[in-house]
Amino acid sequence: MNLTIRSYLVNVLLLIAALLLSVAVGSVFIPPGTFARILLSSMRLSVGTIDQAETFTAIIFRIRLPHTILIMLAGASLGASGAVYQGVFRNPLADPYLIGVASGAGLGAVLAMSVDWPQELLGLYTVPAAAYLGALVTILLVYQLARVGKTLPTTSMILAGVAISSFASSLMSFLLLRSGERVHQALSWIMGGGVLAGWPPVLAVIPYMAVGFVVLVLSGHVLNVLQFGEEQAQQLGINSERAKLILILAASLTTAAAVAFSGLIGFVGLIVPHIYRLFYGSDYRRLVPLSLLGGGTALLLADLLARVVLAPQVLPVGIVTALAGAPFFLWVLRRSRNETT
Amino acid sequence: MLETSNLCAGYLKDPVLQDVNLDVQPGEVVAVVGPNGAGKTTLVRVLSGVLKPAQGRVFIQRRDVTRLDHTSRARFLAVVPQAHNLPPDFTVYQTVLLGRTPYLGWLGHLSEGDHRLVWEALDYTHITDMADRLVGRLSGGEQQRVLLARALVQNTAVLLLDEPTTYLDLEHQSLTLNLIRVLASEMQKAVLMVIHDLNLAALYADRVVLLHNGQVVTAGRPGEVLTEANLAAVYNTSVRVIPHPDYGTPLILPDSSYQKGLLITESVQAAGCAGAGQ
Repeated sequence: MNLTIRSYLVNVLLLIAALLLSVAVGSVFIPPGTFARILLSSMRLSVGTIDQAETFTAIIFRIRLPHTILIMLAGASLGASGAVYQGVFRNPLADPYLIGVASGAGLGAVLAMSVDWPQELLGLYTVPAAAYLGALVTILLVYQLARVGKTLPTTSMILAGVAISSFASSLMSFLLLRSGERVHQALSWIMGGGVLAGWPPVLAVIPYMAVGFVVLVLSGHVLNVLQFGEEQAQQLGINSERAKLILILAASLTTAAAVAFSGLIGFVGLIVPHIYRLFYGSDYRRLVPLSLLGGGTALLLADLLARVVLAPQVLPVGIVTALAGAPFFLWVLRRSRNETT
Repeated sequence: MLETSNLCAGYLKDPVLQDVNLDVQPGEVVAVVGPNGAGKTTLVRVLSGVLKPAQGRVFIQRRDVTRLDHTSRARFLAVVPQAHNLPPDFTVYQTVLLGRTPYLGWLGHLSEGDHRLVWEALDYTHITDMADRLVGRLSGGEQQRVLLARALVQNTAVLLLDEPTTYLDLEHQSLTLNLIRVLASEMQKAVLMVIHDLNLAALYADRVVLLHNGQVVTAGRPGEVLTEANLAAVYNTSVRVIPHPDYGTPLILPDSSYQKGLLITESVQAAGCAGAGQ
């Protein structure tokens, strides 16, 4: 119990630190003193003493804060859904990106964006829904293609995921280019640089993520039972088919919401749950909430790097996560192979 | 307490169990034996609700459990599966705690009573000092006891054991079966165990059910079922059965063509080569 409370405390503090850092750092430098004053006065809702910092205030509240929150939510979604996919498929390499769900969601999102909606806001709220549909179709396809009997071997799952993923990505590129986007922008979306600016996208994803997060975080016990395999789960009184369906629906919902307004960001859902498993064990009642917090922190830091490395140019954040994630993926692959032989 | 009537089950186009009738009374240990492919595994799967029976009923305390959902059925019957492929980084305590699942909701909220039951079960199976150890670091015999403890906290009338001694050495075989006997008599549980080893079945079961081609060939006290004639017919090889020098239970001695000096290598080789050549 002590370990649980301590782990939550540490990870909430880390997330807050990453949030503050993300809001403070950018191409325009805001002195820490001014930054603190702006934050404090905004909390008291008294905007009296900060006339000279008005541009800073605008930068913080109109640009950086929504961007930071969107990144944090996307990271939290990928972390939590990664942990849940790994638990449902009983496969340490399941990750929303690797199993193709992210690309499917991306394709859905791009399709929705390429339609001329009569109202801009209506279009904005349709995007996550379309992404969700794309994600569900993809995961169904990958599962059907990769399944051998009732098991889901790692290799066939990754292969099916990669195949479906590149197919969806190609379609996405085609749609993006046809709609008149420049190659540069289309590429940047696919590499996880599609983070939309401003508050509307944040508000559009929140309902989807709220539902998804609640279901995922509350499913730790069921995920624990599922680790013993479908047969034992049934003998312990869990309707494993229904439980898996609920979990996949919820994990895909959060993944889709993350992808909808930030593009394809890989490897967060793989790395984050793995690190927490090493530190805190594999009790899913703790692992899912921790992966949610840690996913937010990790993506905020990756995004910070993406903004700073080539400043004032901004890298797609997906490049940073892939650079860190691909070697990690190979390491996990080796480790899981050594365990099974 | 556990009773099946005309149980038929199987997979598409492959009926495995046909008209299986068996019963187990409280405090009784019944062993199901039979050659490979006799339908023992299918029987475990049907009784535990993983496989729906094509026909027939399974009654526990006069309730038809084939009509119950997984959660309700898991309150009547607990399974001790074979101990392999367990999630290695769960602790013993965590694993045993999952036996409370049929009494918990989706959230798995635990009460003081649940924890107390877990400690009792750990004590019963002599693994209290292993509570914080990881399941993956335990020996086969220890893992078997963890699964037994998990089945105990399910608090069911019936205990179903799937090959409880397969991976165990002699010492742990007798420890495990002894424990099962103690549980049966002290907790008045009805215990049905599927077991390969005929001698262990003879030593530890009150009654033996001999299964062959999905049908019950005969059932009764070990001395009545485990006879030379019955075993020769079912296992397709001749055996000797003598009374155990200490207990008088049947002791099954397998046949050895080697000891008889009747090695039939030539015909085996000829058949093997002919088969391999094609």
